[in-house]
Amino acid sequence: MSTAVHPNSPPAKSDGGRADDLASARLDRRTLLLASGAAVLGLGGLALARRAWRDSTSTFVAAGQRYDGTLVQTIRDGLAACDLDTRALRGRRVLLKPNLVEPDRSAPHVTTHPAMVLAAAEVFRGFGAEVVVGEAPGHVRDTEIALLNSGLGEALAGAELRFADLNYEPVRWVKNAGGQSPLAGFHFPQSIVEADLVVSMPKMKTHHWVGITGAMKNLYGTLPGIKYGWPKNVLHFAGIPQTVVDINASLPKTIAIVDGITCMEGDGPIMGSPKEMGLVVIGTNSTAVDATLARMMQVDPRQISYLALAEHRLGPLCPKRIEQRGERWQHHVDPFQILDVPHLRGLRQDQGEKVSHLVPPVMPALPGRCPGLARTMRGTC
Amino acid sequence: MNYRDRILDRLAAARVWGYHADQPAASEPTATAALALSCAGRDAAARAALDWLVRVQGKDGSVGVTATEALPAWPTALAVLAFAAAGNRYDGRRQLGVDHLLSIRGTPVDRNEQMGHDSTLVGWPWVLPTHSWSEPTALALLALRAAGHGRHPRADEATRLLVDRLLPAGGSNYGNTRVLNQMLRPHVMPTGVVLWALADRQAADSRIGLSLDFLTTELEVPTSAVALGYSVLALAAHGRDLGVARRAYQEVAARHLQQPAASPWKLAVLALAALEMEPSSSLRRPTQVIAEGASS
Repeated sequence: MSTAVHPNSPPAKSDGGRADDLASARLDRRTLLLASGAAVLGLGGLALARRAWRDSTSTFVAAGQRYDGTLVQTIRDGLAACDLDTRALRGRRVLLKPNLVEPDRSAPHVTTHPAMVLAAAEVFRGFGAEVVVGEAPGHVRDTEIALLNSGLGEALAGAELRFADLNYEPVRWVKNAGGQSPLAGFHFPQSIVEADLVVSMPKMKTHHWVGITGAMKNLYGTLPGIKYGWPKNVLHFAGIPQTVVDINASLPKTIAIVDGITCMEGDGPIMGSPKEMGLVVIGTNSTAVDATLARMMQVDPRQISYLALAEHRLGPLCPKRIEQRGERWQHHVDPFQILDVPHLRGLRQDQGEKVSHLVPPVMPALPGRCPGLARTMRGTC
Repeated sequence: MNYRDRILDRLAAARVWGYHADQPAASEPTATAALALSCAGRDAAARAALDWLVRVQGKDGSVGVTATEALPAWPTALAVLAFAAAGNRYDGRRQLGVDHLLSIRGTPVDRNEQMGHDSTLVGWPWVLPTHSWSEPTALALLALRAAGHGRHPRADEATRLLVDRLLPAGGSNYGNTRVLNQMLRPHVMPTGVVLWALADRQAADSRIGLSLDFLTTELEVPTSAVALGYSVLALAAHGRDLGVARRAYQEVAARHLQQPAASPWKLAVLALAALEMEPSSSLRRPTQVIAEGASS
């Protein structure tokens, strides 16, 4: 294969002295975690700091939230409560990653509400950060219509926020730091690689294959369709739980701000029903955030395959190791409807309504890489 | 109104055809631009785009997504379309691309109750080795038709696959119909691409008419450049009245022409639509290029 380029192509832009090495382009975790214990370990303590951060973290829950409410203050409070060193963000690049997997005008509860994105942008701009919003919609490669149908395009224009079309940006290969899937590495878009901080902004939803989708799974949308397809079937073939963990392990520093105001239950992540929760959930560890989301949905986090795989690798699931800030999650548990299908029946030991629009007569017979998931599903979902 | 010439002027002047104005060239926008410019008789500009594709094409005929990313090679189908529209000069390149297309296939999966579509049918994937999906299969079918291979068994199977993936109420999406007993929603752009590919395929199925109706309805609400463009191509290829698309065409064309840094990809797809919306006896319509290839 030729590697020729168009003779009239503009010269590659200088990186302004930024090193190619990803590690040097990111804020390290010590910089961002001011009072977590990781921050005070001193010289040679980074490995220990990372281990401590994996094993213990905090998650902030705010209830009674509305899209036309005081989201800016809530997000600012949540980040402070989770000990994010906001002073370190001055002059840094922050990429907000909402979930626009399949925007539809008739179903706004599928996607992250624009008000959440605007509020987060205002907060990070207030910290002196350079903010960009980026997404590679998983089912829709027409990004213009995704922005139209989600309402996000109009919102971003009004706030003079740049949108990075992650489906089509030039890519850079990054070694797989998770090692759970057969993939040797990932092709991340330029805006992701150059970000100092990636903020996962998912919608709190059920997911008809893996149970729930939150901050970790949302980061599937950092990978470009131009390299992975629409849907990103390469990841399905490599194993959904494994690739969720690997992507999260390989990204620059990530934190999570979850749109849990109008959520989705039942046949998520696309065809489910709206469920009002009025929540905003924030944390510097996506595994812990997703575990907290699961508990509020009355789902056992250890039954979520990618969370089980992430525990002890990326973050804690045990509530004793997730310090609660803001409101107690126990006060806001409200069971989400879950599809009554065999591969999801283990998610909930006790009560909780199940949607019975389908019970497949048999599970597909082919084995899969992930417990409870059929190989046929991996190939075609 | 003459948006057509303004769009073509902008497209020809771009010289670097990427997905966005500030990005390097990519194969899909370049191939789409080459097709539109060839149809419009803008031969010098078309030649620049075609020669870029020639340089990117591998010895096996594949055309990667960009000059530096040889894989995946799903834009090969678009490159074949561009070479086919360009005439004899690129015959060798066109055939090389066809050979590559016929050498690859999506991964079939045993049928199961969780999925509504016939997962055993073989089309084309976005990325090897994964499942067949609607849009790459439709693009490959268009390429085969334009290159005179419309009767190839792979083209027939692609036709069956695309019809199978149409939704019962009309429209297509990325390529799933029913999942866990839930019917999914249609999307405009892939419906346009699929319906363009299915024109003249003698695939009698009521969902085709319903899908064209879906496109017509969707043109009544704000839409995107590529959704509009492929909808126009689909409606034109099926002989539907394009009057319904006029308002949307004017709105979308005007909006993108106002942008000083318009996306070359969107301009290229809009140019294909413009050649259908504002035809001229001196210019070829993109749907005509496919039809001529199919009958050759």
